[in-house]
Amino acid sequence: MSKLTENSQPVAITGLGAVSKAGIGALPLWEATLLGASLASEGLLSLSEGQRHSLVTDLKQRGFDGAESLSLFEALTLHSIVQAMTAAGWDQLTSDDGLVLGTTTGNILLWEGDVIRSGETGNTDGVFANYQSLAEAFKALRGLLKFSGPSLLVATACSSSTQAMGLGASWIREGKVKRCLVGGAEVLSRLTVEGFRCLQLLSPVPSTPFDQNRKGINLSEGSAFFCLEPKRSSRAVAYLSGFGMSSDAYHLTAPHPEGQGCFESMKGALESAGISPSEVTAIHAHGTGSTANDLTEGLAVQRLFGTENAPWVFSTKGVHGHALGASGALESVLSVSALQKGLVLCTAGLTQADSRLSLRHATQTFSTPVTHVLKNSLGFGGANASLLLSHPNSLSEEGT
Amino acid sequence: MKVTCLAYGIARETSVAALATQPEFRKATRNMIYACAAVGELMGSLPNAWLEQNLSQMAVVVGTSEGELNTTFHFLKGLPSAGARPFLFQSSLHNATLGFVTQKFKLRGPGLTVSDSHQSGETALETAATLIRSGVAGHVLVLGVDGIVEGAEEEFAKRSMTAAKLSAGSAAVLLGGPDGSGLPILADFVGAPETTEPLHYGAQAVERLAEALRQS
Repeated sequence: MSKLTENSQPVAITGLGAVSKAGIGALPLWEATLLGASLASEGLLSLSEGQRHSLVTDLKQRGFDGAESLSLFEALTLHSIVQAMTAAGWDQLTSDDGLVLGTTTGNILLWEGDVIRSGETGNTDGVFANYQSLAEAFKALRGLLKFSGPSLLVATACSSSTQAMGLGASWIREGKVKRCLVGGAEVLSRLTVEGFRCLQLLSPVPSTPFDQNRKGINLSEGSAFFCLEPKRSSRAVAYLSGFGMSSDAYHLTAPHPEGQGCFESMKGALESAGISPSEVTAIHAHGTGSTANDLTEGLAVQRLFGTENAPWVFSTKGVHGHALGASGALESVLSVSALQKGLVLCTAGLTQADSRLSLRHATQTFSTPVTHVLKNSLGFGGANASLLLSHPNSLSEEGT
Repeated sequence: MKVTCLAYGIARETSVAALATQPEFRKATRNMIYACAAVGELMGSLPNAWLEQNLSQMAVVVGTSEGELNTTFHFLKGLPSAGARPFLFQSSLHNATLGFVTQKFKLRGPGLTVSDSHQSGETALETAATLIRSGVAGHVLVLGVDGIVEGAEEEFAKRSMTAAKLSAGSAAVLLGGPDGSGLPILADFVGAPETTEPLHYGAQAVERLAEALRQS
């Protein structure tokens, strides 16, 4: 097993939490992913009324008395945070802790209906009564958590929560905070559904990333959070050991056709961890199921890793959909589980790999030591981000 | 690690007006035009040789409170009558300004957008400093840009209980490491200027820093 050194300054993940269409918690998401069946209905994955009710009920039982008045975005975020803190054994947050959240649309559900109605009726009275800028939900969240430490909201499209995780780790490394909560949340909105639809990116059937006959993306909602602590921890479930970012400088919605930006962000993540490409076991791809994304990302992977003995490549969006700004965090939950369980996942729905790519896809999930998983996110605006997540045993004994 | 201020740019109304008439800005949003005016001024102050060597790896952090919510508003309002319009959607997301600026100036380093109401500019400056101190980037273009949703003035004034700054604006500052990344150091960056009001204008910390650098 290849080893990380203290010089690469890995940060320990000591707890995590998630909410998705699969259910509340990381385990339902993992189990659904192993089953490999899409959770989409007509191409979308929104939480059921029962799941939303469970979120609120559970938060009330955990002491959040006003939980029924929370927006879906706030409830999703808060629940994942509470799960992660419980798992990490964090009783409360202090002013020495940090909080970094990634999202694309935040509380947009509170006001987008009013705007659309004003377009229907031509009556703009009160159309801004429920308007919120992006940070207002975040402020409400800090209030609910009684949190006064450093905090940051990242809004870089589908790379938002991946960047949030990397930046939280950077805060720990520079000593800005002692511990950090990092993650993301996203709700399904008319803005994103109609927007992706008009770009002809949505699939009405289950998405099949990297498949020759792919039809497009399934949008979803959800949240995931992680507790990060400095360096070595006996409670580490994994390490966040590398972080890279780049910009395509190419187009507002189309990725660079040769994957230049994705290549740079993956390379940056490996370099920051001091890991060579040959040491990566698997790449948890952004893999949305859009032709442009899959080709871009695939070409970047081929360029960095080659095609001989390259890492396994898988996407899990065929099961849980694309949760936009929350997708990096949600999928990192699965990456951590893959590290812990020693499993390389197959890509749900992939039956005939795209002939334009030569990626190493597993035909079925299989057991093997998993040391390092590279998690990619590619966002609109050409924003790329990559995280290297590493097995707890990958930290060298030397220098400790 | 010491972080330094290396260059600045402030969006001038004359530059904004000139850019707005150019064909490549025909579908650009207000924020995109203001941002390009500020970045254009900053870039114009840098030596060509330095730009040739460093431009492609320059990181960008955008701080904005309202981001592209003005475009989001028009996209949503137009749904019942005009349907979903791709050119409005692609400029609706909070980071669309970042995407436009990186494309326009060919900036291929790390890029991110942060939002924290009127403190967005402060947050962007501090985030840029983190990127430099942690080695993620050697030099970072910090861009503060903002402008509220057209038509929301009354509601905003009501909430903030003070006269909100309703106009749009943008400024840019280039931060680097202790050696100045090969450029003359204008000042040490010891922290972002604090801002308190108005509630919904996130560009002001970068504007204040750029103005202080200009006056020095």
